[in-house]
Amino acid sequence: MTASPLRRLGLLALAVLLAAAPPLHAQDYDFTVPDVTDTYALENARVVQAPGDVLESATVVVRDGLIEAVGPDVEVPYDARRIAADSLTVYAGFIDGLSHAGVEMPDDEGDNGEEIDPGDPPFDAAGIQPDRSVRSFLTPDASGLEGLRKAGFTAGHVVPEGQMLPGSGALALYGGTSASDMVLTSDATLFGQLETADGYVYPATEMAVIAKLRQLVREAERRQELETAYERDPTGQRRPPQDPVHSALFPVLDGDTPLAFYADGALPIHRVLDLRQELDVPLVLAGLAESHATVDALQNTDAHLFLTLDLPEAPTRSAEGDTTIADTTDSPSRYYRPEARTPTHASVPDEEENLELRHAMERQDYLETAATLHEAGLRFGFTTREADAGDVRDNLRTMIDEGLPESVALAALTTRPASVLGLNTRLGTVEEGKIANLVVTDGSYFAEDTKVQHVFVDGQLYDYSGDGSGSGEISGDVSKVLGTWSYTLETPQGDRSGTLTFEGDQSGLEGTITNSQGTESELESISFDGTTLSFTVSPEQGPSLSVTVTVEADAFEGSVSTPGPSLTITGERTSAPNAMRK
Amino acid sequence: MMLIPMLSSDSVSPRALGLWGLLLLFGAGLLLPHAAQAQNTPGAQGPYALTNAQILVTPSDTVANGTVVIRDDSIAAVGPNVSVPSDAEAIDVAGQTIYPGFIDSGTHLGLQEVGSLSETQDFNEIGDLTSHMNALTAVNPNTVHVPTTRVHGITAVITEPETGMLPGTAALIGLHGYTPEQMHLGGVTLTKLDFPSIGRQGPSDDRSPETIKKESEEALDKLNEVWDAAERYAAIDSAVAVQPEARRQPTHLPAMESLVPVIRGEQPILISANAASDISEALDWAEERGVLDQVILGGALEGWRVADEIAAAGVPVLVGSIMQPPTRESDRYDKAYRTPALLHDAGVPVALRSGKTENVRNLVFHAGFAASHGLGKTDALRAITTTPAQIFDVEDHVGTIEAGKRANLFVANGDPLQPDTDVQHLFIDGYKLPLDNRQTRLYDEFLNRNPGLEK
Repeated sequence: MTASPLRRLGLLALAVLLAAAPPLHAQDYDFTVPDVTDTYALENARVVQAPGDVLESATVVVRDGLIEAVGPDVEVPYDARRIAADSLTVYAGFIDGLSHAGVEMPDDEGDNGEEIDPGDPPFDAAGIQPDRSVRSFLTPDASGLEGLRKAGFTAGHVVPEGQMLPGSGALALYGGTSASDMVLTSDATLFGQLETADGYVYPATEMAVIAKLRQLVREAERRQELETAYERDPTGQRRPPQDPVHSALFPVLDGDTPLAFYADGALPIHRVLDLRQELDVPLVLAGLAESHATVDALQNTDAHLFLTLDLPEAPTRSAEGDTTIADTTDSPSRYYRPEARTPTHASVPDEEENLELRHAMERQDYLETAATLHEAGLRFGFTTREADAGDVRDNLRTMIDEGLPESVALAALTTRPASVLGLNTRLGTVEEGKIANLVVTDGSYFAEDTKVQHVFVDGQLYDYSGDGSGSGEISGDVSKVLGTWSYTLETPQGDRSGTLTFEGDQSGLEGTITNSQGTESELESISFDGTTLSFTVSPEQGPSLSVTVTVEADAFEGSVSTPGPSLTITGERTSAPNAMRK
Repeated sequence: MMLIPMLSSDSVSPRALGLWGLLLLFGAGLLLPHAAQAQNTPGAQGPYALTNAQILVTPSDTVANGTVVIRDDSIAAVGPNVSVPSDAEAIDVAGQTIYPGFIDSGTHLGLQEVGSLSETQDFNEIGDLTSHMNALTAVNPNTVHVPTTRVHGITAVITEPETGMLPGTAALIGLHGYTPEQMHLGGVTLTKLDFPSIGRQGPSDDRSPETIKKESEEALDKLNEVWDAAERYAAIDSAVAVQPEARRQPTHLPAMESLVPVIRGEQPILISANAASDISEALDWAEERGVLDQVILGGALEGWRVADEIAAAGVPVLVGSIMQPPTRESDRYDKAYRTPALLHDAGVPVALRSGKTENVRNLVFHAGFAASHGLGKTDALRAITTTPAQIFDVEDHVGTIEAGKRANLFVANGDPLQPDTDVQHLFIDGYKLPLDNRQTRLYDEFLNRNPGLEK
């Protein structure tokens, strides 16, 4: 009995040793080559200067962080790095209405042993920290920033994370080498949300949050009166107390700084709008996922709106082999039967199907929200706070498919947020003298196959043109690999098995790998030339592995290259494509 | 002397000894020289007349009995009928032979003192892109290894930086002088490129073929990225030169600035590559980048596999170190020794490099091995005299014993490629240099230990 764990330990040690073996190739080429010039010329590009304002073939010169020149007959400066942009489209860099991009909050220090009265906690325990500024939490290395930049976002309104009043937001560039490089305007807004305090402390419900907000605003008004009176004639008056929390609300009360709220649901939207009505402060309202249900209320407000770029996921069928959903999701309301009941266990599948139709029907409202708001005459920008950067373009395309005009979508990404956030003299269009924030794509940004090739932030180039390796080359008959395969990987710790699935057609393959623990990962760079199949897997932790196997009939054999020695992998096809589809 | 009682005394803690104590300790352990061991008498310029000598004017041209007159830093006259000037110190070297000073085409001489002490290694700079490191600035003119190198007739070496893709520039230095600038010979400066190794690096490299391919591509991409940036830098620099007032200099990047002379074709590029595939790739790369006619290939241990390709490219090669086993187990045992001959037979100009620091003097034995493994003595001598002089474009100054050239020469009592030959006199830039050195002093002292080893 004792031998087995020891043996395992030995194998583990071996594995650690193998993994830790120093690289054999002495040189490391993973360094950054410095930029020789910050002047760039995008030559002969299609330039979308502003929505509906297109130059079919023009050159854009970027210099010293600014757009130096735009036009068909622009002279390329002597020190420009020329980028042949004949087949490329240049847009103004997108502006994010509200997000936590570039924000890294410090780890919670936990309670410092102080006894707090849950009914009357100190401000920070209650989540009331309007005296904080997002400026101190900004870093260009924050996770998530790169993804948004690659999606085309070059600037945005960033706010700190927290609860009810997490702090002031800033207008920031989504790039640079330091936090100072990023900031355009600090303390641009005061961020708030209907979020209860962490833990068992007041405010623990939404009604308390609203009551507390109301209280804070009233207190601040009073405090401001006192201070004004004191300033007018301090003699004979007690000095008003220093109070950063209330003082931080003064610019909001003065109407200089808007309160920025995030609210997705219809009820929170109404609550925030009511609060705004009551407090009479300028408001930026972001989120609005369910705003299709609050159109009237939104029409009666002058709040600046930012719609979330997140959309609900499509319903997936838990049971297999039924294609009804695919046929009905386009117009679920035609098929949904509100009167359907479930008299016996035999009709459970019917009910399930009916529920999915209901889901699809509800989802439809969300897909159409952007179009609904537009048709109601509401002007809005977008917020990426809840959206996955990788889904942004798909979701925008969905919104356009559901009725949002493309030019309005583009305006909502560029000119509208620029003017709402007071950045229209610096950002939002491709014009001379503006900050060089640009998105360069190989086609219409909203088309399905388009890729973002370059992004400029503050005149700095982020080159994504080499990232096309995400898709491999398919030259062999894909039917030889489509389907599900079981694999066995021979590792020093023993054999590991799992499954691989491949889907797709000659134009490209997609696949997933599911390991013995049931963890699923996407396969990247899948190539197949008829016999040799190769792909890479990037686990969440650790280096990516590249797999190359030779496929023969319904079996494969090959190797997996790791930082250590290569491992042998074998596999068999367990289900062929015919069994899966058609 | 003081060191031993100091160390044996219990009252002195290692801590109290401090850094200086530690240095002394290591110094004693490794017999580090101290100031008193530097050469006793400095060299002096003549004029000198070496008479009754056999003179190897060039490796293929010998004067049986003649005189060499050295005046100031140059050779004033050479030949059988040269008379001794009245002011010259005449040295009768009857029965001996005068050779041109030898040139080692690749060393770390002056850049490292003690191999095991990283503090004394100056050829390894930290960083990824260090093309602006000049080996010359780090050369220690007073290194103990210079006198030990001279005893075998070596009067000039290329000294190279290491580490990274573009480690910096190598320099040709004469082995006499008290500042690096005095030593710099003919201003020879070579930008070194350690060409990325593609392909499998020996039997212990168990990366999968895909990984090797991927990593090679990444390395080459990186090299091209650096070169693109350097070309852009050079282009902007040229554009600014046209209108210096109206235009502004590129962002100052020393690493890029240092590559400009190569991009403009003004400076040779020393590409170091050993594997056959790396050499082919490097030649292709150089051709693509338009620097092929500036390329000098270094290392080239597998050069014989692609000798025709190197010859066709017209690229000279600094081969070595050849004193090692063949690169592949399947190769004949003497393949490395034969590499210079195989390259020479293919028509490639071949110079030899020892690749050493402390043992640069063994260059003569490298040449001896090359000579006896196909190259022949004449061509082996060329590989350490005239050929490197031509490759580094200093053939007007050094490499032969001809009037007007710099007086870099030595007198030997036999064939200098043989171990039992002694160098009797050695001149660099007309300075007659003493031949005693650290090793001769140790030899003298320990051969005659007093009071011996009794008791």
